[in-house]
Amino acid sequence: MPREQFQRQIASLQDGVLEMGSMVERAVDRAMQALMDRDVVLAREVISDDREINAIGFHLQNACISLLAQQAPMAGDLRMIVSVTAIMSDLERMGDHAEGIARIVVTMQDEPLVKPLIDMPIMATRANDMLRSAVHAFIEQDVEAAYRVGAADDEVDRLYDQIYADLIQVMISDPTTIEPSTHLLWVAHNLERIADRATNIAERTVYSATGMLPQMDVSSY
Amino acid sequence: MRHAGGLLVLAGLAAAVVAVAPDAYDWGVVVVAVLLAGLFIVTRREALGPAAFTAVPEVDLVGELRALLALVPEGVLVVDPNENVLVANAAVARILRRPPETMEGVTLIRATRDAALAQVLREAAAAPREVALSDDRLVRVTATRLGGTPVFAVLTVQDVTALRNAERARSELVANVSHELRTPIAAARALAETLEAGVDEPEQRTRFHARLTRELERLGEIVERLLRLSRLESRAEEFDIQPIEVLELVRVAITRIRPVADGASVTLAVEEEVPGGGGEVLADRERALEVLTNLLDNALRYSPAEGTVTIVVGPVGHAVRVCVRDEGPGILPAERQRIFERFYTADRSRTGGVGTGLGLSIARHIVSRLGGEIWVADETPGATLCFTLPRAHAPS
Repeated sequence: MPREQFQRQIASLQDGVLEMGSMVERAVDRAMQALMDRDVVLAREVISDDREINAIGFHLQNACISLLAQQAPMAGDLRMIVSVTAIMSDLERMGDHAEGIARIVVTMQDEPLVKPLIDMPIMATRANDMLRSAVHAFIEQDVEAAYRVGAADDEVDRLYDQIYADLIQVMISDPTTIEPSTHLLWVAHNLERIADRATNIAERTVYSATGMLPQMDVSSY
Repeated sequence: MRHAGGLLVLAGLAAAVVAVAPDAYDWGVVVVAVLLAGLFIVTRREALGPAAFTAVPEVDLVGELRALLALVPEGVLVVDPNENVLVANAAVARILRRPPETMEGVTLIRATRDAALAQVLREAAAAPREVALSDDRLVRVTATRLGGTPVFAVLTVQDVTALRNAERARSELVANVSHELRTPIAAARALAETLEAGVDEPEQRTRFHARLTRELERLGEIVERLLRLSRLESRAEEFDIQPIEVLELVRVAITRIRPVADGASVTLAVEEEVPGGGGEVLADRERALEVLTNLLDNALRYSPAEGTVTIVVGPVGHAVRVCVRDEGPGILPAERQRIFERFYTADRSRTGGVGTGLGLSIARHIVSRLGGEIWVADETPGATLCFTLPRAHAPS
C-alpha cells in the first residue's frame, strides 16, 4: 500500500476519535440537561444513544486492528494506532459515565433535589472542556495543550471534594435525604471519572507524540 | 476573463433563482439551486454543445463557488463524497468559531469538530435541524445531497441562538404577565361577586369595598410598571441629566421611605466611605431617586423587625457607588443575576406575595441608561444591592 494511502487511513482513525469525542461531549451535556430539567425522556434518549458511541468505538477498534495486521507499522505510526485504541476505550467508558448520569436521572424521577445544583453544572462544563481540549490536543499532537488538560483536573477534583462534603453535611443533618443525596453523589462521581479519563487521553497524546507516557493523573479517587 | 465569465454564469443563475422564487428567505435554498444548475451545465456541457460555452470554456466550479459563497451571509459547507470539505465560507467559520484557514481540504469532522453536523449530512436532512453547539449556541443546519462529482453535498449553517432566546423570553413574559395579573383579578372578582350577592353588614360591606379597591390598585400598579418598563426599553423617556450631590439623593430617598421603615420598625443608617460620600454624580434626579427608593423598599421588605438597613456611599474610580445592605435572609448566588429579570422574586413565601417583581427590573434599566451598573454584592449575611452612577467631576 502506498504511503499516502496509509497516511489517509491514519487520518481517518483520528477522525473517528474526533467524532466519538464530540458524541461523548454531547452525551454528557444532554445527561446534565436531563438532570437540571428533571427530564426523564431526554435521559432515556441519552441511554439509548450510548449504543451509537459504542458502535463507533467498535468500528474504530476494528480499523486499528486491521491496520496493525496489514501494515505492521513502526515507531510514530505504531504509537499513533495504539494510542487510538487506548483513547477509544477511554471515550467508550466516558460515554458509559454519561449514560450513568442519565440512568440516575431516570431513577430519581421527580424526587426533590436535596440541594440546589450549583457546583455540579460547573463541574460538568469543566469536565467537558477537558474532554474537548484533550481530543483536540491529540489531533494536533500538541504536547503543551495535553499537559494543560492534566492541570485542569485539579479543579474538577476540588469541585468533587466540595460537592462530596456538602452532600455528607446534608445527609448528617437529615437522614431522610441519604438516598437522594447518594444519587447526586453518583452524578458527581461520574463527572469526576470523565475528567480523569480526559487526563488519560492527554497522557496518550504525549505518548503518541514523544514516545513517553507521563503520569498526569494524581487524582486521589 | 475565464474566472469572470464563470462568475457571471453563476451570478446569473442566482438572479434567476431569486426571480423564480422571490420568497426564498433561505439563502441555503438559493445556494443549493445555484450549485445544482452549475453542476447540470458542467456535466451536460457536451450534450449542450460548444455554443453554450464559447464564453466560458473551462469552468473552475470550486473556485467560482468559493468566490460566490464568500458573499453569502449564511454559513455554507460544500462537501465531496468522502466528506472532505471543498469550500467553507467565512460565515461558517465565524458561526462555528473555527479558524477559517483550517476548514478546507480536511474532513467534515476535522473542519467542524462536531459530530452532529456529520450526522445531519449522513442523514441528508434537507429539513432544517437544530443542533446545540458545545458552547450552548443553537445552529440550524440543512444538508442537501447533490449526487454529482466533485460536489456531493451542501450544508448550510445558521446561528439561531438569539432568535430562540428572544422567542423564549417573549413566551416567558406572556406567561409571567398572565400569571401576575390572574391573582388580583381572581381576588377582585370574588369580592365583586360577594358584594353583588349582597352583604347585609354595612361594616363588612365597607371592608369588602376597600379590599376591592386595593386589588384594583395593585392591578393598575402592575400595568403601570409594565408600561414604564416598555417605555424605558424603547428609550421613549427623556432623561434630564444634571450634577447632583449623592448625599442629597440619599437624604431625599430616606425621607420618602421613612414611613415604610417606621411601619416595619426598621432603622435606616447611612455610611459615608469618604466625607461627602463621593460628591456629585451625573444623573436624572427623579430617576436616580426611583432606583434608590426601590432598593430601599426591597431591603425593608426582607428586613427582620428591629433590624437595620444601611446605605453605604463611596467613590469608585470615575463613579460613585451606592449600596443598600439589609439583615434579611440574603440571596442565593444562583439567583443574584436573576433578580433583575422581570417578575423574578427570590422567594414568594418570604415576601408574602407583595411587590410586583418589576421594581428591580426597572431599576436596572434606569441605571444602565444613566451609564452605571447594578448588581448584588457577594457580602453575607443579608443581601447587599449596589449601583453606580458616573461622577460629575473626574477624581483629581
